[in-house]
Amino acid sequence: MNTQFKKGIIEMCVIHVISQKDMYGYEVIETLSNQLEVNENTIYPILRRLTEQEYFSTYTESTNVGAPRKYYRITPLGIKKDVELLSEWRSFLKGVHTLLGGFES
Amino acid sequence: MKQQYLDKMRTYLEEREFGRSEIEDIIQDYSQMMDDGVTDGKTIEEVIEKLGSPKDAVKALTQEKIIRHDGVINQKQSSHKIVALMPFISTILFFAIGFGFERWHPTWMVFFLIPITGILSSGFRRRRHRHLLTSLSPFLATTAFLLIGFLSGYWHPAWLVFLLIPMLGIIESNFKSCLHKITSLSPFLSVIAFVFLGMAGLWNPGWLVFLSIPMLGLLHSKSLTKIILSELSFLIAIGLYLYIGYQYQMWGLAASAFLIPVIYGILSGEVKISLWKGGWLEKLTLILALIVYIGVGYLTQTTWPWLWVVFLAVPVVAIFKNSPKSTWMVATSPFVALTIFIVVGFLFQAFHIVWLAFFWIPIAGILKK
Repeated sequence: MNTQFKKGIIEMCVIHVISQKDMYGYEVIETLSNQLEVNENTIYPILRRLTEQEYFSTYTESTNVGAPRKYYRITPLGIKKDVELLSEWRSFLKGVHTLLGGFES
Repeated sequence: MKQQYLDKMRTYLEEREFGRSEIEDIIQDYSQMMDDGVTDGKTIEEVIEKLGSPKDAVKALTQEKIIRHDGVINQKQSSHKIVALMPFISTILFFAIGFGFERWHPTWMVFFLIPITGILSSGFRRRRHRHLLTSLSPFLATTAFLLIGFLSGYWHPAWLVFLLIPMLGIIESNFKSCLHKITSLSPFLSVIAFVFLGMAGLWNPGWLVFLSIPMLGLLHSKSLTKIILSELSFLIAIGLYLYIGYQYQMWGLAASAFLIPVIYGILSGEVKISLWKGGWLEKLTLILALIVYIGVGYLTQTTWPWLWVVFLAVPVVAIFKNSPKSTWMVATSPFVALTIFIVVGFLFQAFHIVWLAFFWIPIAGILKK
């Protein structure tokens, strides 16, 4: 699959999983790599860029083990982006299904 | 292995277009992700495999950085022009005001416009308005400090404006709740209150403001009963301390009132004496510090406000014992600076100059690099 296309999907997934609950970096990588066949080393750079673009804010929380952990939280801008990307994705999938006849074929 | 990975990553990042703070942030994130992976039951090799080689990771980070900057390329042009022009504008202003009004000083401060414009421009370009104040704070604090100092002569307590730098950093950062933010701000607010109270001749009992730090920290407890009881133990101790101190002028005895929150803390489990898990050297240092604190405190009766710094010997000894020699200078720098600040400040009433001791912290960091 085209790398840029895949990156777009990862970006959408990162935004969406964090919109469901606040997550720390490693948790995001684990969540995505458990479900998708992705190159894990691309996830953190995307997460970082999305934070720079203010789709996420960060805060630290102390843990029982080791240093305080940095958590990512969706921002109102991120929620807007999530809705926008999901809508585009669903409409795209609908078109693909129409063309290919769905998963059954 | 982890350190080797991070060192390699740092080298690759330094070769690319990454700023110093950006590098530190990325290294910290990777270090944390490795720890989280290991906590999750994976071996460090498995975690590294997941994160990719340092070279690949930096390559991916660089690509994302390019994407980020492409989105704002048009804004870049005009803001760059202003930044490029600012040295000339500042020089013109400097000579115009200098010759026009014969005020070379403090007109030279117009040169601060150069870094300030750079920061403003970079902030707007990256749409990171949120951290603009923090980035500008060193210049704003220095300008305010010099202006107050030169114009009014109040170098002390004008130095307190430098506390705005970490405070703005905290204000502009994201915290889980407002209470977390206030708790983080409390050490700085306490120092400011303490200095002003001290200037009014109230070093003692002015130091009580520092108790706001643990008192705010205790509000984070999940149990309301624990919060009420622990806060109450502090309030009773403060009340007793003030009563015994003012009524009988026995401040040493009055200080024993603080055994109430300490004992309550130990009994309720809020205070865990994890120190006893430490080695014999830390224990010995603590005992010696206690002897010095109580002994010298009682003998002199006037040294209570600053004598507590002897307890800083405990973490310093722990650093010497448990950390590699190469990290000693940086790791101990906050304790060294604080000790100099408190001891020299109190003994010579030189807080207006001795705050410079805190410069030792970044200097130690730079020397280490």
